[in-house]
Amino acid sequence: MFADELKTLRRLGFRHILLQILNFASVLASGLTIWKGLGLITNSESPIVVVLSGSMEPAFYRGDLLFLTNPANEKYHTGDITVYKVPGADIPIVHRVLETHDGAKIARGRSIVASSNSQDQLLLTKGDNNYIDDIELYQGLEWLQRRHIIGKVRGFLPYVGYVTIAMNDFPQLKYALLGGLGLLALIQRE
Amino acid sequence: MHTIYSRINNTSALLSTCLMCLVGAIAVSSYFMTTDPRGTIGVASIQVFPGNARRYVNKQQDFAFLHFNVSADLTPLFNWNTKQLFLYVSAEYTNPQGIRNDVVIWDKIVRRKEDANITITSRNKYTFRELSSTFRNIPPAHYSLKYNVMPYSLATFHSNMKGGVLGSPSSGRMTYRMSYKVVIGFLGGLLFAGL
Repeated sequence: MFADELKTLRRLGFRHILLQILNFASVLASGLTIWKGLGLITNSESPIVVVLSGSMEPAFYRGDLLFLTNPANEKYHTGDITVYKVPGADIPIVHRVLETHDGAKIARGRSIVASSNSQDQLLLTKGDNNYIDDIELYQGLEWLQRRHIIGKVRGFLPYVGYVTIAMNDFPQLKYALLGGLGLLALIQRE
Repeated sequence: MHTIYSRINNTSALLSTCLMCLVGAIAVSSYFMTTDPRGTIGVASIQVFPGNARRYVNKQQDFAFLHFNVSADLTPLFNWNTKQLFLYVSAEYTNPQGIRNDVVIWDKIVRRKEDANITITSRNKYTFRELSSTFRNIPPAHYSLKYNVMPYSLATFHSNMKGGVLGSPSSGRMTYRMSYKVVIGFLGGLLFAGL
């Protein structure tokens, strides 16, 4: 089955294989660089996310690709669509801001006091397709704070991220895709 | 050179480039299609009642109930890159500790141009609470109608993404004092009537 490919591999020699591996590694490295660079520019730990649930329908559907920014000196406002991740939850959530309380912070004993830092905010979010706000999703927190927010949605591409969802649902697909790409890089001649 | 593989490759590359250009052009065009829709909001009544806090059964908290009417013509906001409008009413006020609050009390999603001429009399959909759990000594809030345009593709530029306050300041922004004493008096009256 792979006799032909093996033969070409043997003909091309060891140095060629090394070169192809190097090429593959540089592709991976540049991908990582772009991702981390985007993260630096947008000040967000994950500047591109894929919508995983239907809680923001009809604005976003499963598989939509979202582009986020998180400017350090900009406050969030009601109506903004934010992506947040609370400690204890494994996936980030894309929901709209329902309440903002600027200049408030949570003191010890869960009491809410005015903060001297004007960047401090307490936020409450809600999914457009949900009936009630997100307090149940906050894993014991009562308000979101600035540090829980990954970013604000600035743009989106419909359905493009569906591949990632498929890869999440069927992990075999991920390995098949990676393996296939690696094999292609190895045996491609140019 | 003329293998099926290369033909498929070329065709799909051309198609995806065209698609990307189209999406980009639509996104850029919507950046120039700016409109200034008009609308008004009127607040009919505000009442404050004490109730149990959501998480702590023994904790008392004030809830504000608002009746209001909204009329707005949002049809100019619909262009070829408008997927939906998110229309909402928010209450803004600063409490005595200096915390600036902005609370969405009602929202509506408009998906068709035919439904974009809006006349609604409603009450708040979401609970309106104060952080300090009481509305006593809270200055008047500022009620405004805002919108948020969701495009079909790519860019949601800031100016597009976030709408402004609808209507002129005199008609669109109404300020009401939440009178705690009046409400307590009203409750007392109800109680006496019951007895």
